[in-house]
Amino acid sequence: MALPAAATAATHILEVNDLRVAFRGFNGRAEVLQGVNLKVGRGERVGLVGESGCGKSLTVRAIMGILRTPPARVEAGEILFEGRDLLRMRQSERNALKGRDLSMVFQDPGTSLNPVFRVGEQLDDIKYWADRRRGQRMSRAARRERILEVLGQVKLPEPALVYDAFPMQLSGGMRQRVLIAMALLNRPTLLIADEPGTALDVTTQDEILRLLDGLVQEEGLSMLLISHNLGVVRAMTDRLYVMYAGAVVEEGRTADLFKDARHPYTRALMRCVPRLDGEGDLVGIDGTLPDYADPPAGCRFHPRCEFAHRRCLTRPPMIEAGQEGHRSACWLEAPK
Amino acid sequence: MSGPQQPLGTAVTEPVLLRVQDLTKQFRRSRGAFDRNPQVLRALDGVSFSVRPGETYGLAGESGSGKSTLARIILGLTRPTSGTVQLNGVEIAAPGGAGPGMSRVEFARQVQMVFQNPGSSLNPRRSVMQSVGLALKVNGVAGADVRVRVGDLLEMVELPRAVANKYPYELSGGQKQRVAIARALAPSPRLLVLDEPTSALDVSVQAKVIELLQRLRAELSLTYLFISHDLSLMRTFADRTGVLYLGQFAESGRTDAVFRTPHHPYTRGLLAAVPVITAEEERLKEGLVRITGEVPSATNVPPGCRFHTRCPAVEERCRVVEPERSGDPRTHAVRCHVFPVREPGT
Amino acid sequence: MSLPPTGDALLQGDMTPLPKGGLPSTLKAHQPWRRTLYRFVRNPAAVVGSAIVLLVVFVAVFAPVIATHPGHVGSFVNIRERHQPPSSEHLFGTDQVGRDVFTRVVYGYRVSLLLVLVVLGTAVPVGVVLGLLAGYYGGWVETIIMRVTDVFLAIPVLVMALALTAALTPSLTSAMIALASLWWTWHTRLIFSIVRSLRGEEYVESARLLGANTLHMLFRELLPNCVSAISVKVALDAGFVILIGAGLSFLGLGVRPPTPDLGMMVSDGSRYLPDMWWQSVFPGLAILVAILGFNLLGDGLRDLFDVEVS
Repeated sequence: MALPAAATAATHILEVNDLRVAFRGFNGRAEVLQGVNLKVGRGERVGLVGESGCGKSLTVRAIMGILRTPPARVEAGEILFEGRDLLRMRQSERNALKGRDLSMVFQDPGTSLNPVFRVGEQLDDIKYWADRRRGQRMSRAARRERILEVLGQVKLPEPALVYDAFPMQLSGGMRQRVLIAMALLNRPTLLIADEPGTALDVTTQDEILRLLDGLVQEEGLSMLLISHNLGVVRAMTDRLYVMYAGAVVEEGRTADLFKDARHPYTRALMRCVPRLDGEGDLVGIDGTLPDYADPPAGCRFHPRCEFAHRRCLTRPPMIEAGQEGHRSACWLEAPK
Repeated sequence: MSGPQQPLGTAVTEPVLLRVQDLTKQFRRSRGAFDRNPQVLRALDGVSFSVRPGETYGLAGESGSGKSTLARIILGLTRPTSGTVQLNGVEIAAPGGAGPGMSRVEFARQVQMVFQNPGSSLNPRRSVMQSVGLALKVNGVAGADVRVRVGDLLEMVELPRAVANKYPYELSGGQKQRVAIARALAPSPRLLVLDEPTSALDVSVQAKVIELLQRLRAELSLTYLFISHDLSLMRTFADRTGVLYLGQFAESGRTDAVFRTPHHPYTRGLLAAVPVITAEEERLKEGLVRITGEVPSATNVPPGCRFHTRCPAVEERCRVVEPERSGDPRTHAVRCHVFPVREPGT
Repeated sequence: MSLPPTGDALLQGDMTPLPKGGLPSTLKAHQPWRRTLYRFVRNPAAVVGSAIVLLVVFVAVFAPVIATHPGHVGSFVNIRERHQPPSSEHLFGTDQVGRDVFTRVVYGYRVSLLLVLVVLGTAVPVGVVLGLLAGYYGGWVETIIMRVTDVFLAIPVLVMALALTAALTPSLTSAMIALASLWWTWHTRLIFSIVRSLRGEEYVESARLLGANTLHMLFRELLPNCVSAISVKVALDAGFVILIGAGLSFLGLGVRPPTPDLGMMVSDGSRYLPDMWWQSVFPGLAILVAILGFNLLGDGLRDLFDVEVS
């Protein structure tokens, strides 16, 4: 599919600009995503980290086009994939991209696979429809070959047996590998991984994450990794976005952020993580997530922030802090 | 569990609140009415340990380790196949027995549990007042007093008294878990079993709940049995730790000993797999070998050392002979042929 | 991390710290039932259903006031007025003995609703209690209760009604007994399956751990979680009771004349179709409306509770 001239100049494979998503509910209008900005470069591994309710899942669903509208509504912003705005595309064009160039590894292997169909059938279905949307066709045998190839790529022993198996006959770790295979089936350029391995044992999760990392590097994919686990994003990403209450509060190279986090939320979050060596004190964050229907004015973190002052009643922009590319949405970074 | 627990002739100097001895639990799964060889699921295979008053004993393990089954037996929700559990010297769990050697209400005043999932551990159709007040009512506390005491309990878990009138669906995960803690504390138990109490919570909320649990432990002189798969949290919270694999302790002892000098390859593999965020923690993980593969099914426990199928240091004898326990579980003990705990001087 | 120096006087005001927790919220706290009400009024089935049911109940309760010819309810004959088509005096026309059909329909609702009240009022409590016991205890208790339930489930209502009329004369009472004696089985089944699935819930285990006794477990922990399913079923059942009751009367196994009964009225009037259509059609429509109302209400309630649970 030929891309328009402007798009070929796109430096980033994925660009989310000023995305605003609101919900209509019992308490009126709730503005959740407040203008989210993020970019994923070619071959880059980018992390999106935040706690539950921060809007990271919502952002991902908006990117994949699986938002439930109503009650959600995209009010503004653009999502550029290879320079083309996903939000303003025709549905058919969007569908052609979904699962193909832009693919997602889902979170819960327990519920993401249909229990009444064999694994091979489900993968075959996906390949068949993805091809069809693109006007391509492969024979069933050819599809099976491709599926077995990809099942082998995710290091599943005996791919032919897995092909004929039902999901419940596989362990959690194997199912997660199948989900990764599903995402790789159509040779995507961008992989979105939503909390991969969260539901698994720590040793299994470790294996899965290292597998994923290996595959991303092997295939030269770009990856957007969503997680609530700081340890995971530290190991698996080159750049990181930290989200709180519907906005990105800090961004930068992963190494920079862990060495010298600037935003009070990021710093507080890091103090919440228990340490394997038992050093340091475990300190929580007082207060709770804001009510999106009645959010605090200005910076949404200020009611819980030890440095809050009057300026915080106005929402701070992203301000350069520390190393290049490292920015924090906090007035404390403002030049005097 | 074989191996000398204490040299003969030594008097037991320290009081023990909970003593678990040689506990096993098997489930029989018959595949039909005429199945002659039903599958046997060995959930627990000879577990022994003791918990001193005021201590926090951590049970670490992955799925299939048996830690939840162990908790349920201690709480009297299931009966063991063999072995005993004693609380303050009174037998509270034994195979075939009628359960704890005391009334249900009495037992409730000794041991309580905080469950993992705050969403399902509170009855959605009962208000906080009703859920927390249940234990009080059962113990004969009168109506108006219940209201006051529930309010006190809520304050103790750092919740406003007004929360008593709310229903679970109105509360956040962290708040629900605090209510669950308040409920568990209502009968003033001595032992609190915490089964992954913070796994379903965000890390910032988890930190506050752990903070609360630590404060309560000191203020109320509680003893905790803390079950978790999160090793970093275990390090922070538990005084002694036991690592379970397929129904048996692979390693156990004082937490800092187990974490700083892990002997068992499984413990080492677990630590290697933990995602960490500081360089110092990375250094701790240096030299630890990762393990691969999945836990075998508990219906098919490997012969010899049950970990040998995944062990990077496996030797011939590991495949055939079950290792004995070496060392003292009060400080550091391991079940491993290749890396036993060596007594000083041997 | 430290605050920037406060040397700059212009920024001084900006730097004043805010109270921890931010400024107070302007949003009112909302009561829990408001939420349910909000969803309820947005559910067309629930709204229309309850409106109809309320209308039916209103008509039944205030029958003496609404009916145009209250005297026509009992033994009344006025041959001169027989088979009058609907008019301003007789809204639904008159039947073969000159009675006002409208009045009899209105009073017929009384009979129908009485049947619903008695049948469900006895069957539901019995069925629910048996279901709770079977589901909670399992083992022998479950086996005995559920097998007895199976036996009763195998008896068709019509057969039961016939058997009863052999022993007693057909009447509203015999219809009530016939229905009630079989209706409880469905509720037992429903509650049994719900309780069985709830038995393993953590909050149930927790209550036992806290020392709750069996009575508490059944009625305070388990039953409240069955209420939504019970309400939906009761609403739908009401419609069925009316329908089956009408059927029994149609066959002569229920209410006896001269008590007005919608089913009987349809039956009596069927002889005169299609000429004197009003005699069957209006009672028939009345049955339809009542059942429709209860069904819509039941559907609406089910939608409502489904959302609440999720």
